[in-house]
Amino acid sequence: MNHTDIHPLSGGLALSVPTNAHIDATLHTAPLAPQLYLPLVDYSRTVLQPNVTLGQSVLAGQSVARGIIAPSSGTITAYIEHSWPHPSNTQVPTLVLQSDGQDRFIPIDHVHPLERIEAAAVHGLGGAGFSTAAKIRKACEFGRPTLVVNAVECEPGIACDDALMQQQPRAVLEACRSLIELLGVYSAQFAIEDDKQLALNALQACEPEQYAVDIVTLPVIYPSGAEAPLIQRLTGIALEYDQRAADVGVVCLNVATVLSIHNALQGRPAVDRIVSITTQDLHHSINIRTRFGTPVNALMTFAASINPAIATALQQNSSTITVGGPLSGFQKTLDTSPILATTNALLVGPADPVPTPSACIRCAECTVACPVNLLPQELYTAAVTEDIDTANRYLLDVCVLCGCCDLVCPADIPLTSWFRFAKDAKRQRQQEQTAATLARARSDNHNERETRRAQEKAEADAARRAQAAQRKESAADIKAAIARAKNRRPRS
Amino acid sequence: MSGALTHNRLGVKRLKTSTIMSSVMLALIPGSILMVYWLGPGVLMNLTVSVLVAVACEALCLRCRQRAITPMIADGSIVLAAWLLALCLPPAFPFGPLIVGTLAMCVLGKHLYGGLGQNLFNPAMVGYAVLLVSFPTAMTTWTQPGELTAFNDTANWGSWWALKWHGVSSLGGSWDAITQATPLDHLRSLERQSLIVDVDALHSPPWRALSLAWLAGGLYLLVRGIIRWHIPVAMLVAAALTHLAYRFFFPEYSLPLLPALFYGALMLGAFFIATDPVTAPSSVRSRLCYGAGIGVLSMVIRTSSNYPEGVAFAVLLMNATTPLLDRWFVLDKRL
Ligand code: SF4
Ligand code: SF4
Repeated sequence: MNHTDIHPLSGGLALSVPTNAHIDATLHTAPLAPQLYLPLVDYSRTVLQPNVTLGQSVLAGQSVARGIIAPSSGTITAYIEHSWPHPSNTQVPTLVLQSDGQDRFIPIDHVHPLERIEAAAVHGLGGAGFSTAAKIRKACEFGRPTLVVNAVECEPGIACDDALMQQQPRAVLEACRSLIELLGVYSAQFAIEDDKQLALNALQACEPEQYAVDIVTLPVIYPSGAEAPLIQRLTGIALEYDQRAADVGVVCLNVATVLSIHNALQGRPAVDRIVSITTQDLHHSINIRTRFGTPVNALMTFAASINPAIATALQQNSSTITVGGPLSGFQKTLDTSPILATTNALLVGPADPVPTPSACIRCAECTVACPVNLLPQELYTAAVTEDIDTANRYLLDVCVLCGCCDLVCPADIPLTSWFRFAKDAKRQRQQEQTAATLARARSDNHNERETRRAQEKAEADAARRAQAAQRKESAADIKAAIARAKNRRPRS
Repeated sequence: MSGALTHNRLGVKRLKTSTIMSSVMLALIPGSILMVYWLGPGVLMNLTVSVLVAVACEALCLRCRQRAITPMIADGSIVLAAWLLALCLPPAFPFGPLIVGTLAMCVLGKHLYGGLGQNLFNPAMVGYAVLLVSFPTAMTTWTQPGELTAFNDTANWGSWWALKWHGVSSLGGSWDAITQATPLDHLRSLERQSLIVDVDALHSPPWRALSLAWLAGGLYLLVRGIIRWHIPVAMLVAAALTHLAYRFFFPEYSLPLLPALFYGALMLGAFFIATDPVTAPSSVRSRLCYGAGIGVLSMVIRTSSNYPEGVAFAVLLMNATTPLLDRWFVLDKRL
């Protein structure tokens, strides 16, 4: 497929990166941290119940809660409230795993491939961190879906997929092939932006046709790497507000996720990811393979030890980092928050001062820039007033938190932060509602049980009484009969 | 908050609110100079008084609402609104009503809604409507272009001063000579009397030149990317079509198309008033719809009502539909 087949995206931005940026595509591997932190929440922030006990030793790949596995072997030493890389700056229930340094793995040997993926706890490494097994299962319902491998890593400062493709092109293509076989499709569309020349060369050198991989190069537009915009550019289909890719028969998986799936099928659980560490000015970037649960500050120390520019940046600002890229990321204090499946990049160094926002003048620049055709200014008003219903009406769920609107807003309003906040508030509210519904259901059940019990009791009582009455009656009958008999006797 | 908020980060062009406002004012300058030149010091007085009163009133409102004063005035939005209002008023418009109109603009049009960005209606047009309803005669009495316009003549300034304080009657019996109804009104009464209209004679060059100046300013804004084309183009096309329809069904409205478009406030309205970001809708389709609505209504009001000019009411009417259009089109697009 060439450029003419690519559909236009309404909105999005053509970003330019610093031309003298030094991006190190070597894959470094972070040392195993002595303590790994495992937040027990899923992508929708539902708190999960641990299924291990304190003091229990676990192997890498062993489940510690639904959908969460131990990233290395060791002992569960604590169950605490701990910070996590989330813009809300909250703490969540977290298991602490003291690693034993031996890194023993539990084999994944389920027969069914989907079960294997599930047991390996493969989560999307690109965006929201959905469970991959669930995604594939949904896509399989569709029959023969279109498989899109998403290598469009379009945000500047994030190069983890780029590095992966440059370093392990053959492994990537093999992973694509095994996914093609798993889904029973004919080929995969491998979407990559045309500025990743080195990665493209590396992939082309491995003859992607042999792996039934069709490489599609897209002209660079941010944020084509988000699922909805990517599908629009590849197929021309704009997803409806309540649709996901699977609903239009597309299964869209990040390239690193595809490799994780492949590894899972081979029996290796998903215990790590590549994290880009980049200076705030985007001039220096390195990529480190990191175990999930590794504290961010430990990773930073390692990054500083291998790259002097990052060490300098860290010295200049050792208190806060940006989690994610320069547009979609959020600021976070540098602490022992763990690396998660969604932590694709960390920006380090002095951040630009945040200008004071002024009033929205409804210029609609944000509307023009929005890749999914929302009205950010209306969403903003709704988010500020915490009016979740209005935000829903303006399709809050469709927002991909790309940050395009922020970048063009003449009033300097941090729109994306507000939307992140609103999404979080909505999720929390939904959870409260679910909890309330559950509680109500429980109490309803309880009441019903009570009523039923009372009813049964009453029925039983009534039956008993009836029986007793009957007995009394029959006793009376007998008495009467005897009396009659007695009375009759003298006469006879 | 992400670190991406600096200007022109990552090569993305980003305007500041104050840049937008000051560019619009820059684009207004040629037309305003022309207007002062043709219509005399009265226009300049209108502008000065309106801007001063508006800034003072804005500061007072912000103070009462306990907001920071300087950044809000520095963004230029209130100066721009006052400027636009003043451009819509006759040169001999007295100071008293002028102040009333400016206050109405600032308080009714802006701060009662919650200040910049919150107002549903275009503040300048709110001020204009208030004035037109309250002072109909003064609002429709225009001095003849070219009369009393010498700037170096102190007597002239004196006449204007008197005119502005005491109204047109201060000039005694001679005021008839220098005033006329709005140019359009004048034209219309001629038409209605079915006089043979020598269009060229009525083509008073100042009005046409003025419209051209607004058009030039508008094009500058388009090129700078301060406004987008959808609203002005939709508005002018719709106005032209409406006018042609009138001409077709009622041939007595015999004004040819171009003079009709270049008379009155259509150009000023299309590029500077209808495009006010705060009160216009946001998506492309809703903008087209909004612009077309203003175009049609302007021509209908201008031709079929007793008001001399329809742009202000058309803008206000369409302002009211803005939230609807936005919701309609953005949801429609997605559902
Ligand atoms: S870009 Fe900013 S000022 Fe313009 S409409 Fe959007 S939020 Fe408002
Ligand atoms: S952050 Fe959301 S609203 Fe803003 S441009 Fe991106 S998708 Fe649109």
